[in-house]
Amino acid sequence: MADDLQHDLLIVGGGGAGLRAVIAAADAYPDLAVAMLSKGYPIRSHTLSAEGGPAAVIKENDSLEDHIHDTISGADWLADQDAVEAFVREAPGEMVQLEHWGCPWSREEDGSVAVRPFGGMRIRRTWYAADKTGFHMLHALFQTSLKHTQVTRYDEWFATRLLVEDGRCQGVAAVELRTGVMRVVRAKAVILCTGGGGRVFPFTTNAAIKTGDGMAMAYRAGVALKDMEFVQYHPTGLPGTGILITEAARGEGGILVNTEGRRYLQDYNLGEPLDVSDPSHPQLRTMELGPRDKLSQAFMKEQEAGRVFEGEYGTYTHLDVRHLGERLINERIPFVRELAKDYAGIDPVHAPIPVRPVVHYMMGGIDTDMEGATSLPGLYAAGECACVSINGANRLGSNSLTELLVFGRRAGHAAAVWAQEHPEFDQASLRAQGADEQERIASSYLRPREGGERIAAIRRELNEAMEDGAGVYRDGARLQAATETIAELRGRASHLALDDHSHSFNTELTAALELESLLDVGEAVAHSALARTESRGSHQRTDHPERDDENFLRHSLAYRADGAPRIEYSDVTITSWPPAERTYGS
Amino acid sequence: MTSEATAARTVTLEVFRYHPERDEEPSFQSYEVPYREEWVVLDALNWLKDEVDGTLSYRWSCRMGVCGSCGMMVNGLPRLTCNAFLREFLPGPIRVEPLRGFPVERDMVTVLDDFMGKLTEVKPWIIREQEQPVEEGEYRQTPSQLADFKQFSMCINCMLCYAACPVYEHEEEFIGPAALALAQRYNLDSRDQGNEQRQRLIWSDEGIWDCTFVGECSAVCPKNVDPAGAIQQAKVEATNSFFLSFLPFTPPGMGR
Amino acid sequence: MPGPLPRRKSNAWWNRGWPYRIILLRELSAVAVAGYMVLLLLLVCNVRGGEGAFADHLEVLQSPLLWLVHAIILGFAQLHTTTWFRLVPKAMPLKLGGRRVPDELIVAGAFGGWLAVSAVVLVIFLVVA
Ligand SMILES: Cc1cc2nc3c(=O)[nH]c(=O)nc-3n(C[C@H](O)[C@H](O)[C@H](O)COP(=O)(O)OP(=O)(O)OC[C@H]3O[C@@H](n4cnc5c(N)ncnc54)[C@H](O)[C@@H]3O)c2cc1C
Ligand code: SF4
Ligand code: FES
Repeated sequence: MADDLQHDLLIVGGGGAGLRAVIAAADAYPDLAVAMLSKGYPIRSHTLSAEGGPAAVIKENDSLEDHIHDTISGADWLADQDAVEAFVREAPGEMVQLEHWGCPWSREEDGSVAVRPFGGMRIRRTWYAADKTGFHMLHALFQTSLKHTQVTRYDEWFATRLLVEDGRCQGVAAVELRTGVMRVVRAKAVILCTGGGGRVFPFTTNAAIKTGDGMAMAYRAGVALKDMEFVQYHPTGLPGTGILITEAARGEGGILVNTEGRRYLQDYNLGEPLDVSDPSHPQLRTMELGPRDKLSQAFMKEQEAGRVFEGEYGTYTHLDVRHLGERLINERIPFVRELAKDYAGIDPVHAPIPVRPVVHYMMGGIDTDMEGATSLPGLYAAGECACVSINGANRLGSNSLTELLVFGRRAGHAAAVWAQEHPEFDQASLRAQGADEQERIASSYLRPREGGERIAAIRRELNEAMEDGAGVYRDGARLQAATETIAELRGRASHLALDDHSHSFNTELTAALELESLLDVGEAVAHSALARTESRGSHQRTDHPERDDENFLRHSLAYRADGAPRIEYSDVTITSWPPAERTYGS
Repeated sequence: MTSEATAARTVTLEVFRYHPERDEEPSFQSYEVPYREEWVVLDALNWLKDEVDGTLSYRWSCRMGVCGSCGMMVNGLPRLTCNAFLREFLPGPIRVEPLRGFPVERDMVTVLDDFMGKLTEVKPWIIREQEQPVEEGEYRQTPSQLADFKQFSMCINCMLCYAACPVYEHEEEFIGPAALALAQRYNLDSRDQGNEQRQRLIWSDEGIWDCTFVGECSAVCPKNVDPAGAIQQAKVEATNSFFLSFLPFTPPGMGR
Repeated sequence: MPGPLPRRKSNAWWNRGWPYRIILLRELSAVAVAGYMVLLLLLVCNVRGGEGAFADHLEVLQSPLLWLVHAIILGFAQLHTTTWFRLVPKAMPLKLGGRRVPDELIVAGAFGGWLAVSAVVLVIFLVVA
């Protein structure tokens, strides 16, 4: 094995959360040796696919109170209210900070930052940079991070395992993809910012790299995965590819219609539609600007009633933005037009866009506190891979990008402080663990094997099991079946046969490692969903259709075990907003 | 066409192969892939990797033209493979190679170290004499000021422009289209005051003056960034500033 | 182990398609324009050399070879002007009232100016002749 590498603070993942953490630590502690390791170049991270924008209170007519309430009710009361309060309070400062770092936010005529409406909000508060917001945020963060020359970057290094010794996380084992060499990267504190795991489902807006690696690493190290049953379906993805058509399309006034030309959301307690020419359209928290879980559920009901279009890639309804006109479409949602033209073959200026619900986001993740700390000392997490939790049972659109910044910064600070207070390493043991991991990977994947299975086959079956069992609507029997399939796939995945046994840039090996992560994530999702016998937010059980605050106003915690995971529960922090019914359609 | 008929059709992919652990020279390997109307070249590669040959190596992630990782030469032109439809290249064969002008790590995976270094050299961050505290709110910037640099901020670092540039092909020192466009993006940003700090490099021989204005970088750019335009604008500025330096005063509206 | 494949350059880059070929011709057009300058200088010299020299010069100009040379130079001059005029908006984007003037308009303006100047030259020529 090559020499070990050593830093004070190691950040795994170069998306929005990881970069924010890096800058926070490097800014505040210039003498700290900070390193960032990611399996792709940071500029390829999935944060850049975000189109719509982050939410933060800035306009006179808005208030922190409103943002807090929208978030908590959006979460169906499963969010921790102290965390939400901190989040909402720190959000505006983070947005302004990003503005100072060059993010090209869209502007009003007077030069102030412009905001747009998003689903589930009482007041418009989504900052945006046309409809490439995540892209601009990620590049602004990355480019700003370049000025911190004390930061070491390990681009295209794939972390496979947390190194834990003495009850403390002291680094990671990672494969340098270019050489295929397994390296031990020691660090006094580690922050996981590895993003979500939407790829566990077949039809998703998520990029190929979103395989839940960080969640799986923490899970294997004994840290709980929290609230994993809550998977967000975005109501408007393009059939076939799953490419997202941003909520901003509805924020700007786009409408959803079924085969009968009816704006069907009015039939699902989401309020009365206003004519598109009415100056008050679109109304906040109403109709098309209802929350994502309700909109996706409405689609499934329409499907049951046979009022959806049939296409080669499944059913769909129409998202119509034609009435906005070419000029507004080009100015506010140009990327929507580009995507629809390229990948659906229609121009939204002249034709409605076919859309259907698509897996988009994982509310759950690595269990952390408000500083990003996990139950494993020295290990922190932030971003989509973490669960603080501000998202509860349903994330409000545009809270995630904000979350990356607020909690990325918090985790960066907290981990930096921890690293300074805990200097020593147990080098010999870490080295041994690294060697162990190298041997595990070599023997599982890099030696020729007769008659093993193909990665793609197992991944496909896993995807299908997840969609069948843990889709928009779930029930006990199907979830049970999903858990059984996953257990069986786990067994089969230990007999993979790879075509590629070489070292340099072996992307078949990374696919195998990602499959391990997907299986872990899938297992946690299915078991947590099976155990939660109520319906809340994005988790809808047809066999338990009511919300059950008495038993389930609690976070689920999935711990890895031999066989099925152990599911425990922890309390939700309630400060000033007692659980109430979620109402939309003012 | 019925879907059955489509499924039965195939198209030939001629794929560049190079393995650093054993090949002295690259070669091409032919594969038959199913033809589907809505498939892009990347779909075909993924299908090959999943079903036929797991050793094929290439980068991709977003499959929607924003992450910039899937650039390759397709029939001789630099393209994002997630946005290059098989139907554009019928009846085939379709030749897929790594982006031109870069060392090749393996198959279609190029070595990007040179570009990543240059990206840092052009100082692509806001430089100010005095930072305004966050508490005082945002810097004001009108839509018109935003429009001055917006186009140059759309770059996804996909490297297609470098692959199209004969100057970069022959002179590795050339900072190149995307990095120069990025420098110009910050120079034009009303919030930035780092123009002078960037000048030494940008106005050097490896910078804008290496460009002979072939313009193909802008022609192949999938995001309409127009790096060639950025470079020419910088040349005009540099020239103006050269002549203005002979004047004893700064004429109104010139220079900063 | 051979390691990564080093970058490779090809001197045949200009032959990769029409866009590249036109650029090569555009660069070559400068040579043609310079050549015309030489012809002009010769003319000036011969004018200075007195009537005999000027008559000889005119005589030589009648030769088919020089007709051909002039035609080629004219062709290159056209190429030079059109290719560069098309690039004007890239180097000098214009803003009026906070909005960017469309590229096509700037190009049209450049061509319009060219036509106008040519018209003036033509008028002067006709008047003098
Ligand atoms: C299409 C789309 C649109 C969206 N739009 C919005 C929106 O409008 N508003 C909003 O608020 N949110 C939006 N979201 C959600 C939001 O974009 C994401 O939740 C967020 O960007 C995740 O950021 P992250 O930093 O946590 O992770 P990512 O950006 O996914 O980054 C993960 C990083 O971890 C690295 N990594 C992963 N595994 C490993 C490993 N094993 N070893 C080393 N490195 C690893 C990756 O290379 C990458 O750098 C959207 C999401 C999608 C899919
Ligand atoms: S300028 Fe265009 S072609 Fe060049 S890297 Fe950027 S997006 Fe790609
Ligand atoms: S896969 Fe991201 S640009 Fe093609």
